Amino acid sequence: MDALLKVENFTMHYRTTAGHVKAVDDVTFSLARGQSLGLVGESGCGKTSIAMSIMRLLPYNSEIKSGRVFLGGQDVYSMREEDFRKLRWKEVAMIFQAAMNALNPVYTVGSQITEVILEHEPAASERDARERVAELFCTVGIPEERMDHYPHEYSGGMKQRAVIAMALACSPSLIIADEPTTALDVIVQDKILREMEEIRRKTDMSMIYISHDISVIAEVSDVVGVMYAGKLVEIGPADDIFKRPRHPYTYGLMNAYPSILGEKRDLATIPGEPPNLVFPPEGCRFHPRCDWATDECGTVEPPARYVGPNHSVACYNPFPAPSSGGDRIGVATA
Amino acid sequence: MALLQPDKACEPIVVVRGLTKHFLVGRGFFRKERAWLHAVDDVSFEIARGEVLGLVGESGCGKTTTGRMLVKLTDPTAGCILIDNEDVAAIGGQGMREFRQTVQMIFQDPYESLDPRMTVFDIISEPLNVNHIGTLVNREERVAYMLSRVGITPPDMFFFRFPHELSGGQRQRVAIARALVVNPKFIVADEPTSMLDVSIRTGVMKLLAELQEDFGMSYLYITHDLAVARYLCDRIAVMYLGKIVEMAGAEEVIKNPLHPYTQALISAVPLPDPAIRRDVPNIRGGVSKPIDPPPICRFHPRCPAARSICSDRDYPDLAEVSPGHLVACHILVAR
Amino acid sequence: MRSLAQHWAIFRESRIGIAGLVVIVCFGVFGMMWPLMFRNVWDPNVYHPVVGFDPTMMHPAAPCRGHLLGTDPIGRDILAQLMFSTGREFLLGVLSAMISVVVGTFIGAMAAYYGGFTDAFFMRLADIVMLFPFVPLLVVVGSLVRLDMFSFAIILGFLEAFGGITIILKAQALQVKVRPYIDAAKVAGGDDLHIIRSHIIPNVLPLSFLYMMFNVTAAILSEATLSFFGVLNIDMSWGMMIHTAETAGYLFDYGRYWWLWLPSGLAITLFCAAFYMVGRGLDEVVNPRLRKR
Repeated sequence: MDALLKVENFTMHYRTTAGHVKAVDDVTFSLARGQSLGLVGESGCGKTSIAMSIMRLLPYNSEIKSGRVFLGGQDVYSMREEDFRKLRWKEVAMIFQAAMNALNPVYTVGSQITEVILEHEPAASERDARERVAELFCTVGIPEERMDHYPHEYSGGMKQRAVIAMALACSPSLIIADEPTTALDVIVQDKILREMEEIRRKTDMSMIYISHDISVIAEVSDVVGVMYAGKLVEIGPADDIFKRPRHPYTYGLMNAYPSILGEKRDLATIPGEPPNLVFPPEGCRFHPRCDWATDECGTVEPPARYVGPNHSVACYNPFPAPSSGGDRIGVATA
Repeated sequence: MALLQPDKACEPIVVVRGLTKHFLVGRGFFRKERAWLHAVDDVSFEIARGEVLGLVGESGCGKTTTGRMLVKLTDPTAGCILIDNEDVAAIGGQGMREFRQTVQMIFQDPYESLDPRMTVFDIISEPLNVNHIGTLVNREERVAYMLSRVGITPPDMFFFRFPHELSGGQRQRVAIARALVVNPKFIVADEPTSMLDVSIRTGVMKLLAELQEDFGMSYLYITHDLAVARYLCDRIAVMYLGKIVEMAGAEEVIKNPLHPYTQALISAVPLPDPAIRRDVPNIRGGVSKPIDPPPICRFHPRCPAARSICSDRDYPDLAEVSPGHLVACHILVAR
Repeated sequence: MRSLAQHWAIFRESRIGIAGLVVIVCFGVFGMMWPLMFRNVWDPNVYHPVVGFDPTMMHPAAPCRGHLLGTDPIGRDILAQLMFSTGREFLLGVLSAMISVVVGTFIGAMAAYYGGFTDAFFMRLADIVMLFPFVPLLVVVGSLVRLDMFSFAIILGFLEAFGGITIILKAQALQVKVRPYIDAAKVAGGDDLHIIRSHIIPNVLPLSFLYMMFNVTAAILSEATLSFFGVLNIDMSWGMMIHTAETAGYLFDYGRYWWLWLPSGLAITLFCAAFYMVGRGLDEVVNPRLRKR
């Protein structure tokens, strides 16, 4: 497959007064055209940092230690700043976490999106741009006449849609959606996720969804990446991962949260708390909280290993594949 | 449901009748008419001793306002609340002191609900302090006990820490210890786990369930998350725009929702299984605000099953359609 | 929220704040040297700041070995005056700033917490105090009653307290009032007094402390101005020193008698600037947005 996005051994630190925060550590993944990747993990696990790295929007106190990011075959960080600025919005767009605040309150929503189009397509006239915005509004389900309204006249769900319309404005080949529905109620969340998926299918666009909610990721992703403390601990096809998680943390995440599915069951707790990334634990970063940790886990970092087609896990003792008999998951719930 | 006292076992700890809260909105300088937001409108329910009632709904449905009225942080416009046979509206003076020991609240945001300038000991002993309970030595013992009960050990290591030195999970545990330190009979928990990270959240949820069992308290558990409500609650009440639309046992609400709104809400919950394709929730339009609403069913503009009787008649009362399962819907009740 | 040690760490980062602190400490040492010098080194008859007189020379005398900063038109030693006044300036500045901040914090917290009439009353009062020109008012007051340093500090403190500082601290208290921990304290059973005393005031205090620094500056400047006009019943202060030079007609003499006004003028400027600079440093502690990251 032709990979649209490739992230290779990417390591990034933030310099703070407390020391270097090892926010992203040796992360490798790729994303094909038309595919959707779901990055799931808790706050501070580095998922937003990866998004910002791809967008080349890292703050001044960040430091890329190693690794490269390729977008459509081009190395993002070897490009000149101005050249990349042209790619932003046209090739890759982002829906920010605080989408509600991403709109400028003193301009109408329509004019803000028009501006994005005009900036990236100098050939387009103002009228073309407005027509395009009308189309976009239609796509995301906002009535066309709301174009000339101000953000405060929009409801929360509608603002979110407007921000999605803005991300779509220059028909990028990749959209990164960072917690796109976290602040919304379930019914609105459901509608917006469905709309985004429909747009993706129609336009053959790639998506990266970032969320702390594993259920949201399950619904919209072809590929799921699980992050813990700056590491990509498991990545693979969504069906495989949800059928049988291989990494103990993935397993913990899935069983830590109640569901309305099936019978009411007891929840598995992950003991302890996520580590301070200034001083991450030696070896596997998850080992202090892991029920299956061995001596090896505490000394040397486990490398990512393939356990199935396109499915890799960074763990010395991953759970066995579904076919093999040993069922350690039963031990966990007991 | 443990520790029911035999003589009081039958009577509920909380009785709410016709609870209503209207907020004045949009009274502009140039506008003559006043508009009222009907945040909570004619809500009635009971909570048995040792029971956990979940109050579920989307943001702005009035669930938090209901909770705040139960702990006397907001005064109701109309209706009555009886807690442990006391009329909450009539409480004052010495009665207030007893009321504060009977009813406590756990807040949503553990980063905001602890005073940043107080130590853990001061925070947890505050309810004892202001109600003049026990001597300093007693309080120290009590606080240490509560800290160990909420899983913060060793307690004396944490006595003189400030909230900013604790993690989110620890803060919420401290907030829980503060609520429980006076041995309350009833606790309003306002989304206590929604701000916590997934791996921390489970521990706090389990702790809440465990403490409820051990201390035999009752909770009103306010949440937007049906799965959490299912896990923690005995019964669930679903609110929509200030009204309770459905109330039944937790499993019954999840497995057999009757009200069209509950059905839509449940079908919109994302599921952690990519193999399942959910149906599109059967609901139209978006939520509006209940500002001076007409006295008809508030859900009918969005209801897929709405008929003429829904807009012709006054709003439907909660009626029992099967044992313990109450629904406010003309169509379902008529059936 | 951070501990005291962390606050200090942030403050230490601020060069302007540290510079101010150093200057204040220097003034402190300078002021404390007065009683030592007066008792042990200097002849009280010659070097007394108010009634001293050196019969051995013509006055005003330029700086020389006996009088390092010269003497004033009536034969008093300038350095002795400067040293003697330092302690009193500290007293004036700190006392009036303390009063204004303690009273202002309390009123601000009350106005924010109770709202309604209490709020309206104190806010209108603040408007009036702020609109009313301070200095002319005090000139009038000073001519009616003879104000000494102590009563002047108290009047100044209260005027500041009911003025702008109330509005600023009330705004801060309003932000504190809506925080969930106030609700939590109510549910715990705390009454109004408890909430104001234990929750609102401690959380407003850092800002109060900041304004205290600025108020010291304001108090010293007011004193200097009014002393210059000669309406205060104060025998010696930095403002008085300039007043003496002016009434004797030496002030506007093209800088020939610079030792009469330059040391005191410089002291006022430096002293005020130092407190202002410490205030700026504290501002970075209180307002994280100002901080260099």
